[in-house]
Amino acid sequence: MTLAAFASYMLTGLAGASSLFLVAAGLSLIFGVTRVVNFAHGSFFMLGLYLAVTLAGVFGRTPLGFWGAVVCASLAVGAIGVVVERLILRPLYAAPELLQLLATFAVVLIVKDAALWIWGPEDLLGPRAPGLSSAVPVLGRSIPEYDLLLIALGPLVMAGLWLLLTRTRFGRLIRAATEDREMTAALGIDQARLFTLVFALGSALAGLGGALQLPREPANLSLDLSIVADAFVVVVLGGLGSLPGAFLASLLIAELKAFCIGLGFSKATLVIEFLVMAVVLVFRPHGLLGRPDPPARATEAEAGEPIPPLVWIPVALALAFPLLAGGYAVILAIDIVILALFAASLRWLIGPAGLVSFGHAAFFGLGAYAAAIAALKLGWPMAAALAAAPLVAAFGAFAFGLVAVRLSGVYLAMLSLAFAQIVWSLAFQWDALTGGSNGLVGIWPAAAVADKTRYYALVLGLAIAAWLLLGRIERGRLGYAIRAARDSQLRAEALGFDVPALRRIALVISGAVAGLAGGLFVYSKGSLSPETLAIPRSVDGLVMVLLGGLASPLGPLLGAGLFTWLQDEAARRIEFWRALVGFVILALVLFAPRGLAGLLRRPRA
Amino acid sequence: MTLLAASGLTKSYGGVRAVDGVDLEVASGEMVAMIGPNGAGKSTCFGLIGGQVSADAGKVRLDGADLDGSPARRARRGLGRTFQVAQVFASMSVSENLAVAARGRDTTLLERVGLGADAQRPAADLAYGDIKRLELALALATEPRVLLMDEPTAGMAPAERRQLMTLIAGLARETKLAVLFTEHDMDVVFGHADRILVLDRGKLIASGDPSAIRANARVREVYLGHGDGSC
Ligand SMILES: Nc1ncnc2c1ncn2[C@@H]1O[C@H](COP(=O)(O)OP(=O)(O)O)[C@@H](O)[C@H]1O
Ligand SMILES: [Mg+2]
Repeated sequence: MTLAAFASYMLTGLAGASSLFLVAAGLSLIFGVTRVVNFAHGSFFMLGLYLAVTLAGVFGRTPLGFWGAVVCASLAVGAIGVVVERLILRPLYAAPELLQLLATFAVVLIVKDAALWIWGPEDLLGPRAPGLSSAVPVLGRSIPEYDLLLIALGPLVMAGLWLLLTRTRFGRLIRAATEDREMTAALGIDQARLFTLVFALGSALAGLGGALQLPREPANLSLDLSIVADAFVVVVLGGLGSLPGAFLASLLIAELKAFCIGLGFSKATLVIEFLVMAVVLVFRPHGLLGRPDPPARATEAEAGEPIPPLVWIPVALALAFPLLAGGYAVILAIDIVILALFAASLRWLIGPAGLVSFGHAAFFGLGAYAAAIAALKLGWPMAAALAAAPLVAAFGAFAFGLVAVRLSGVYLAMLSLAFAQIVWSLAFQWDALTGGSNGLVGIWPAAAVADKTRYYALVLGLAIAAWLLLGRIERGRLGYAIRAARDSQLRAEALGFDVPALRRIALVISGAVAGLAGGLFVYSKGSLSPETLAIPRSVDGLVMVLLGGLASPLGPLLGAGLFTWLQDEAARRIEFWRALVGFVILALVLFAPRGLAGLLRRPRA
Repeated sequence: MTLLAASGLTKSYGGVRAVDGVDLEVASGEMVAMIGPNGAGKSTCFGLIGGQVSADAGKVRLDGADLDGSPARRARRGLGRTFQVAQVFASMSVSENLAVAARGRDTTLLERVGLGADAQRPAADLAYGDIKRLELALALATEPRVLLMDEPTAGMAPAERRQLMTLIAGLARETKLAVLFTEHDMDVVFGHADRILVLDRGKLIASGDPSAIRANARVREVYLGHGDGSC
């Protein structure tokens, strides 16, 4: 590598780091003060970019028009952040973290459809920055002037935030709240106002990050999740709530990206990025500059009466109905039962084991790919290929568990996301084995179950067997030990339980069930692409689990049923079905926080 | 016979020496109290013995063999303990808690600690004193040879305290259990300890039987000096 090449990669990386930092800083501030993991942060970024494109068109192609658009877009996004905080998060501050997460995910769906409604499905390219649209030579290579500006902007914003945090009363309050939430409450600080202001600031930073991308990338509807995944990586790598950490991590990630692309390994970028995060988390479980133990709220306790047995009758009837009715009901029912099985594996992990996974689709996908590859490349019969699915997924879960069991809470969730991204990029890039982005086609069930109704009977039978098995484990001695490790790691260890081993076992069980669901999925669709294990599927799984409620094994079934049916019905009839799903989720989170299954049980006296 | 022996236990947090070269021994069947003002290092000492806190220096032996490794490993070797902030399984009922700890052993511990009538209640609903009792039952359910109790009677009325300590003393004698406990209630300490260790700012400043400790001038100074007044 020549010096010139080195310098140019370095500068490209620095420019990327600035953008990344703006988004991550907002996310970190919001998390530090409110402890909300804001999934909608990427949506704020996306809105910032869309708004800037529109405003730049209105304000005209002058420097003032361009920068006016950037600033106004950022302020507008800050205002939108305030609305979201006031209407949606304020009633949820005392709720379990996962419910807040679900609510912010509903915001993602609603914002996405709002953007679709306002700006349409086409990518929108913004104008170049007037006066900064050329490139300057650096050591014989040309660097866009705009990149140089961004390079300066990152440290400037960092310095500004630093001054804000250390020199102003607002900043001192933010720091106090980040370090000790109870303390600030005890000091009689107006928490509600502080939270709103922090949300406004964080959202505005995300909006600014988006708006500044105006000349660099087109506004499009998939930015939200891709950006929020990047921002999560940075925030977790830097240490939750630490701004210098976020700055450092932005630099690290962006430089890694720039060098990977510059040196021609652009395909490896994602993997390397997530590998770095995994390695850092293994050695520093709280990120580069994070403090140990962000105080976590306990997971929901299994309180309340069990669900009355009568409820199972309509459920059983509903599951049996498609067997008789045939037709479209069968197709829908196959999807629902497979996703319910996937959701059940995730509920087992989040509920009894207390391990939150944001990347659960990895195990679903491992199972799906294992079955497809066994069938297509190895010519295995369906029974053998289906058996390979849970085995391979369980092996993946075991490998993940080797590094993951030392982490907890949000850090663990992030590592699972990293793992899923790594598996995804393997599926995406290993053309010879996985068919790359085209995926694999032509995986059809054996003749005996080729008929859809019969295939449904097979799916239902296997799913019920897996549910029963999971239920047995949950109520057996192993299940209690795993729950004990979740309730109090200190106590469980002091009683001689090997907590990391219990967590690994829980992960392997969960991975196997998710893998089985993946195998069944592949045979029901006949084809497979990397989408199968991309982030949205992991998120779908989380939504189904939380919709259904963690407390009951019935939850995943109800959650998957409602979610799939809503998506299917709404997607066929309504253009803006995502927003509708978002509103339904919000209604449930705000009015039935214990999920659908929670509605069915009487509260304890 | 000495069952638990620790030597040179040391732990610093930042510049603060929380525990500074502590040596101690507890024989089987013996009840030893560790006292000292708040922040003296008692809980840290327990953590060093139990493996919850990683030691800067020092060694712990159980029945002559090194006791090291993870807390779980130490527990399986026969070390039971309770925590200053009681740790139980909040999502389970009282009897489920005990079943987890006992791993299939038969036990009448719930009755013995006085929670027989609460077996079906969710642990999360218990009063703090009862949570302490439940935690003790959990620690005993593993049939440990050494029991560490960090402020076992916090949250209880005086009569309940005496009752609980009498129970422990009985168990210690019956099962040759070696007990090390911290306690703020001096009536409990002087009423139930065979021996007393006094800790101040991480250092062991006195040890001996209750009458010797009562007469010890340095101990009086530490307690009066801190204005603790309970001695
Ligand atoms: N995790 C920790 N981090 C920093 N300091 C600690 C920690 N645990 C204990 N300390 C400090 O060590 C000293 C001893 O504490 P502790 O063992 O809890 O005392 P005691 O149980 O006698 O009240 C105190 O000064 C306390 O502030
Ligand atoms: Mg203490």
